[in-house]
Formats: sequence, structure tokens, C-alpha cells
Amino acid sequence: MGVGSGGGGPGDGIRRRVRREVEEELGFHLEMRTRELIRAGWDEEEARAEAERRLGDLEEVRARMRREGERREVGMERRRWWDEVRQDVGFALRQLRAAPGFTLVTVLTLALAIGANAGVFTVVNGVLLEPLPYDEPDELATLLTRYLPPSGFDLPRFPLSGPEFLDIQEESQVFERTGAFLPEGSRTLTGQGEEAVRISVALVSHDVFPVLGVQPALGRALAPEEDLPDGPAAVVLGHDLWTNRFGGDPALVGRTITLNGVTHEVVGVMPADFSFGNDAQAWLPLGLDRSSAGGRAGHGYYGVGRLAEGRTMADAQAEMEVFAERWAQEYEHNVAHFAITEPLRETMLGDAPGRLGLLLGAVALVLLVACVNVANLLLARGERRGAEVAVRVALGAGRGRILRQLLTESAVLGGLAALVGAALAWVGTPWLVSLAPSALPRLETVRPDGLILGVAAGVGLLTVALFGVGPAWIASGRAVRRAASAASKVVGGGSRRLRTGLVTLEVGVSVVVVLLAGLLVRSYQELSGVDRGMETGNLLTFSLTLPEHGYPDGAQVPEEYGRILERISGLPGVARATAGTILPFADGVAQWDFQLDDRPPRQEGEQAWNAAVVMAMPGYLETLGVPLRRGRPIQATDGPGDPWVGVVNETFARTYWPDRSLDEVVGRRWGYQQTEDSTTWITVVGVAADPRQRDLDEEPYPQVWIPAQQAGESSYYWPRSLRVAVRTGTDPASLTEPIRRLLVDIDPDLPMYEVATMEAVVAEKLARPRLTTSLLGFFGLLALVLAAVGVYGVVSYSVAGRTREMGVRRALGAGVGSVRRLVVREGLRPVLFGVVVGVVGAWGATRWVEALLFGVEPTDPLTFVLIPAIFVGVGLAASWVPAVRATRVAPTVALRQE
Amino acid sequence: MTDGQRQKLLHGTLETLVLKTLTHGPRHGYAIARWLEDTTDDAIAVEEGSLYPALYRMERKGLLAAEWGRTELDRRAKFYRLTDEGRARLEEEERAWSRFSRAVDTVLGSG
Repeated sequence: MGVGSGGGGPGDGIRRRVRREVEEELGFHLEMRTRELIRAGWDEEEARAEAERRLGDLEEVRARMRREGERREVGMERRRWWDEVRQDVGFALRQLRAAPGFTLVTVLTLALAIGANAGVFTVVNGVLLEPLPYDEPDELATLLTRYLPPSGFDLPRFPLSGPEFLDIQEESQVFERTGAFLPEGSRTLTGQGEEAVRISVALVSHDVFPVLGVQPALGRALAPEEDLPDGPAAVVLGHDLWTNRFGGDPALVGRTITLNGVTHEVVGVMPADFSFGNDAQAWLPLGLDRSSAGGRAGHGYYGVGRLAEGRTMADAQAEMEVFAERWAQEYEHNVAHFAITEPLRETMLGDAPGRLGLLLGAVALVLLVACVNVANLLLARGERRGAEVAVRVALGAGRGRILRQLLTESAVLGGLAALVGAALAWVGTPWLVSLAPSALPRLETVRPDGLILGVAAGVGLLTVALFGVGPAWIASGRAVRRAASAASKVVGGGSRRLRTGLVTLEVGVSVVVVLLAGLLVRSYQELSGVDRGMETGNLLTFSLTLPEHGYPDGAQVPEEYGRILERISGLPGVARATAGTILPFADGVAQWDFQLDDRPPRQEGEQAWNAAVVMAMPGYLETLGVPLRRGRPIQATDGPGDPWVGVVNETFARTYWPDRSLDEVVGRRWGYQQTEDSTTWITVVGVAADPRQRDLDEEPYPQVWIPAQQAGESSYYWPRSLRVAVRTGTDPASLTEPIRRLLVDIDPDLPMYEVATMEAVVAEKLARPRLTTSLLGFFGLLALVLAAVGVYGVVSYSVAGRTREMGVRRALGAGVGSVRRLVVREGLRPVLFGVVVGVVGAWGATRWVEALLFGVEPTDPLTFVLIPAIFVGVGLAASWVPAVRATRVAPTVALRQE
Repeated sequence: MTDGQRQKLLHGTLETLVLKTLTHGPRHGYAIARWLEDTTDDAIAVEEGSLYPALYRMERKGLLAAEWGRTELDRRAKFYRLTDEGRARLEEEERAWSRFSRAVDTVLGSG
């Protein structure tokens, strides 16, 4: 507030004015009273004294009058100020209504930029800034290992082995308390007279809830005695499961539910906003102690710890390194495992900060482009309105008043844009989230709220400062000079240079955004074009778990699955069906260490050879469409009594037998040491292609497929849960219901779960880069269009002001072509400058995207040639249209123009 | 009754009287003071020292408006007049007062 200073005391002017008023009024009163007393016969001196006496404590009366007077004046000034604002806003609205094209372009430009900022910021807030739903989440760390197996692969977030976790839990000085967990698992929930469902669970040691510092909303957390290898079966339910499946019945606590055919006591229900583990709907005790921990080579547990008072993440990492070193010395298999710790936040958010940071940067740049664009439009408008403004100056409006009026107009534009932008963000953000809720962690929790309005208002204010102040200052200054000078036309040479400079800036910033977007698009193309090593189309996948009751164990489990698969294969529309412990594009594959038949056994402290192992039913590779390179696939005839066989992938063959041809690899053997003194030798019968294992962007690592019938002898290798793949002749999703009916027919306690077509599984893998890429692409397009509008606006304005000059040129003999070339050259110059600036800027900015790129260099030549070329083309087109228009006016007409 | 309350009560009464004074037309401060002296005698002693601060306060609250003009003797003086708001306030006060005095009459009459 410029005037009246709302909150503070009154200004000196007011103080003086009120003081004079008070003195004059009291003076008048005293004079009148004295006169009256004299008339009544008083002596003059006495009369004066009596008049003053009757007024009481004159100083206090004065002070009270002044106080009231000053408050009155301050209030009046404030009202006047608001009146003027109202007046200015009304005036601005009338002016804008008179120029609907300008208003529409300006408001829309800013609204898109403001909306994009508000939307992206809402997502950033929900995903990154909202604290994790735990007590003091910054003190929480994940305990894990980085696994660098000899095959050369880097698995940065590998689990710890049970004994390793227990070592840390018992000895750590840095962590106040630690708990172990398995983030993923599932159980079949039966009972309540409903169809059996599969629920996701996480297994947690009883320490986990206290470490996280979260109390159940109902009941209690897991007790230590429940967290023993043979402890009583207990379960803590998630809020959603409790509400959806059990109707939110509080009496459920203390009762039992049936999971995998075993009754579990429900001991507690967690609060609604609690989550821990991968989409876990319930938490079961882990039962990890020294007796159940297994060997040091079996890496299967993650840990979560709370830092002790005064300890830092760096202390924790240092302690981990001490553990890692000790284990490497004491136990040979730990050579490739490096114990590490990282903030729990990092484990949960992954690369989200990088992706969102990039988007935030991009929308900020788009906003800058939008502001520059609007500033340019305002500058041009200011020049066109020069005469009108000069008249207002001549009529007595000072520069301050004119400045305020122009700024009010900008503020009205910014305000309208903020409203429209907030509306866009309000509608757009949930739509965006619904497109790919799994593309970012916690994205599904993002809801539009007051923050959108706040950000839109804040950004709107910022834009007014960015685009409004400069042009208003220039226009008001010009008006004052113009009113003072006799000249009817002031040539705006400085202003033209300024506007050309702004176009350079705008093009440069746009080029940066579009180049970064281009790199991501190229990377996305590369990623989606990766050789999947299999046929992902027409493939339905789901999981099955044989209930423990009513089904045989051990070697008969694969036989039972064989019968089920046979029935599925018999359904119309099904070509064939198979199953295995894991399917491509999934995590959680078993890793085995082994030795090779043509190499001396590994020595103490030496690296073991290692591969991912999949137990597969016959027809596994054929059903998935994995090409066989050499040898034969797994067959139904590979019986339990026969010597073990296996098919290896090409990476296995090339990594471990680099000197042998694929033909020579067939027939080689590798040995898996099952116990201290018995090694199972497995003969390679075939070499297959490399289907992707976990992600599209991860290089394949060595893998083997072993016939389930052979591994089925031991339930240790052969779990009761399998992933099923069904090759179909039609739309695979359409077979979901027939298969579900068939399974219910076989056994109602045999739920079909984790159902997805393979294409959907792959699409899920692409969801994260797709969201980032399409958003950045959209922002890039926005920046490109804005830049084009900017170039077009400046060139056509400059041409419009030079009609006469064009006429003179042509009258003097210049051809249409040469005049057009002149205009285009002038229009193109700032574009070329801008492109150079932008390319240099983007070159520096590529490190923002480097981590997000796949198969594309940050300085990808194609992108760095194509995008600048597009900008030059757009600049050419944007200058060409006004150039043509300029030469369409006949020279004689142009010359007659003033 | 605390001082603050007494003050407030007096202010209220004084303000009502001033509003009443101005129903006859604009007057300057001295004229208002004289009118109060003449009309109320000693029944309600209005201290002259409270009058001017009250006038300023009422002007700030928008009950009165003021402008500088000339007296019959051609002296510059500040003339106060009722605003619409002031007039409304006066009617309200009068209604409240008659309700109050009727109630007091009833009590005293029946006693």
C-alpha cells in the first residue's frame, strides 16, 4: 500500500493537518466563550482564564481530539485508496473488454503456465514434501546391501541375509532400534462365506512398528512372543482391508481370520494413512531369530532402523562399512555384498525427486516464456496506446498514477489468469494422477486442495511482477516525455530493441525446454523399442497358490499344476499354458551360486559364479515366445528321476563360457552345492534368447530355467505359488473370466490373483518414463507455441509500424522479394540468436536428465540438430506471414499513410 | 460499576444528546456546548472537555459529518451535521430510552 500506510501510524501530513484543525476549533471555542463572559460583565483577563478552566485539562482534551482526528483521516485515506483501486480495476476491465483478442491470448497464455505450475507443484508436494506417515521420518533408515555379483551386474538395493541383519540389530551403536521386514508377500484370505481373495502382506518383525513410531488405531501391534519362528499366528490389518472386507467392525480385534488355511488372531488395525511395504494390506510377524535366519548366503531380509539421539545417516553408513568389512573377512560369500544404509525416504521415493525436479524446472521455464510473451504483448500495446496515455498525462495524471493504472491492468490480467490456471490445475491434476497412479510413489494420495489456489495466486503475483512492471514503467515514462515534447510521434527504437531482445530470451528458454523434452522422447522410444526377448502380445498372466490343505506336497505339486494347466489349455481361445516360479518383468527371482565343470572349484575368498534360477513347467519358453538359440527346450519327459537339466540364456553362455561357441555350451554342466558335501550337476540342454528379467532398462543377467518336475523333489526349491502364463488366440483379457470360472470349478479356495496381460505388465514398466516424457513433451510443445506466437507478434507489429518505409523502398525500385527477405531476415535474427543461446543452455542442463535417459546420449546429435531446425523453421514461418502481408499493400497506398 | 463502564455510559448519553442537538440543523462546537448548557441545566452536567473529543470520535465513526464554514459574525468555524447513520442511531437510542423509562415507570408505579 503506497498511501495511508494501513497498519502503521499516520504520516506527518495527517499529523500537521489534524493539529491545525484542533487548534483552530479550540481557539474559536475559547474566543466565543471569552466574549460571552465579557458580555456578562467579566474582566477580559479573568474571562479568558475562566473559558480555559471550563474546558478542563486542555492538554488532555487536545491529545484526545488529535488521536480521534488522526484515526479519522487515516481511515479516509484508506477508503480513498481503495476507491482508486476499484476505479482502476473497473477501468482496466473496460480496457480489456475493448481488446478481447489481446485479453484472450494473454490470459490463456498465463493460465496455461500458471496451471502447469500449480499442478506440478501439487504433485511435488504430495509425493516429495509431505512427510512419510511415520514419527520423525527423517531419523529412519533402510538397511540393505549393494550386490555386485561377478557377472558384472549392479543390484543397488539387495536384501541382507538373516544373520547379517541380526548382527546389526544386536551390535549397532548408531541405531536406537531396528526391525527386519519382507516388503512383499501374499496370502489367501478365506471365510466369511465369501469367495477366497489374495491379499498383499508384508512380513515384519515386532520391532518394526515401534521403530516407525506408529501405534495401531485399534488394538495393539505385534508382540515379541508372536514374532518367533513357531509363535502364535497373529495379524495386524491395514485400514482399507479392515473397512472393505470386514465392514470396519471394531469387534474384529481379538477374533480370528483365515489366511492360507491357518487361523490368525487379529491383534490390531493400523490408522488409515499408514502404509509400509509394497501395497501391503496386512502385516504378519516375520519370526526371524538365529534359529530361523538361515545361511549368510541367503539374502532375503531388509531392515529399517531409527537413528539414536545425535547420530546421522553418515554415522550409519560408516558403521555399515565396518560390518561389511568384518563379514568379508569372516565369511567368504560376502565378497560381493556391501552393507549399506540410506534414508527410508530415498528407498521409498526412488528417482521421483529427479523426475519431479525436472518437471518443476521445465514448468518454471514455460512460465518464464509465457511472461516474456505477455511482456512483449504489453510493450506493443503500450506503444499503440501511447497517444491515449499522453492525453491522460496532459489532463493532469502524474507518472505514478499512470504507472498504477497500467500495473492494475497487469494485475487484473494476472488475477484472471490465476483463476483460470487454478481451475485448470484443479481439473487437470486428478486427471493426470488417474492416467498413471503408479508412475510415482504416493501419487495416488495426491488430491487438489487449497494449495493449488495458493500456488496459482502466488505464481500469478510473480508473473505480474515479471511481465507487468517493465512495460508499465516504460509506457508511463514515454507518456510523460511525449506529453512534454511537441513531437507527435516518438520513435520507439529502444523499445524495439528491447522487444527483439525479449524474443531472443524467449526462444532461448523454449529451446532448452524442447531440447530436454526431445531427449526424453528419444529415450522413451529407445526404451519401448528394446528387444524384449519374448512375444509380449496375446499373453495373459496371473498367480496361483495351492492351498496347504487338500493338496499333496513336494514332487506332486508340479504334477498338480500340470493337471490344472492342462485344463486351462483346453479352454477355447487358449493356445497353450505354462507356469514358473517367476515370469519376465517381475522382481524377486532366486539367485544361486554354483561352479562350472571345466573350471577348478572356486577358492576361499574367490567370487562364486551366480545366476538367476527359474523353475519352469514344460512349454515355458515356447509359451512365452522366447526363441531357442541352440539345443532343446524343457520337456515333460525331464522326469524327477533323471539327471538334472537346464536351459541357459545367451548372457549366461557369453558371460561364463566366453571362449566357447553356443554349440559347445550345450552339453556343459554346472554344479549347485546343495549341502556341504553334495553337489547337484545340471547339464545344459539348450541356449535361449534373453527375455528381459525385471525392467526394460536393465541389461539381462545370467539366467537358467530348470524343469519344475526335477526341482519339485524338494519344496525348498518348489514353492506352492506359481506365475501362470496363457498364450491366447484372441484378446488375452477376455479369457480372465473363463479361467476364473474354471478355477472356481476346480476348487473355490484356489484364487486367481495378480491378473494382468503381459502387455499391461510392460506398460506398467513404461508408466514412469511415460508420465515424465509426456508431461515434459507437453510443456515443450507449449513453450514452442508460445515462442512462435512471440516471434509472430513482434515481427507483425514491427511491420505494421513500417508500412510507409516498405512503400518507399518499393517505390525506389525494391522488388517484392527483396522487401520480404528484409522482413524475414529481421524476424529471424533474434530467433537464431535465441537458438544458439538455447542450445548452449541445454548443453549445460543435460545433466538434469542424464540419469533419466536410456539408450540416448545427453548430447544426442539427432535431437540437437532436429530441435534447433524446428525452431528456425517456426521462426521462418512466423516472419513470413507478416512479410507477405507487408508487401501486399500497394506502394502508393503505403506512401499516403501518415 | 467500573470506571470504564461509567465512562462508556456517559459517552453514550453525551453522544445521544449531541445527535439530538443537531436534528435542528448544522451547528459548530460552541453552539452545541451552549445548547447543552441551556437545555439540560444542571440535571446532567456535561463537562465541556468531553464534548470536543466526543465530536471527533462521532465524526470518525461516521455519525457526524463536518465542514468549515462562516458564522454570522464571519468567523471561520467547523460546522457539524447529522449523517444518515447518525440519524438512524438517534432513533434507535430514543426507542431504547423510552422502552427503558417505561420499564422503570412500571416498576416505580407498582411499588
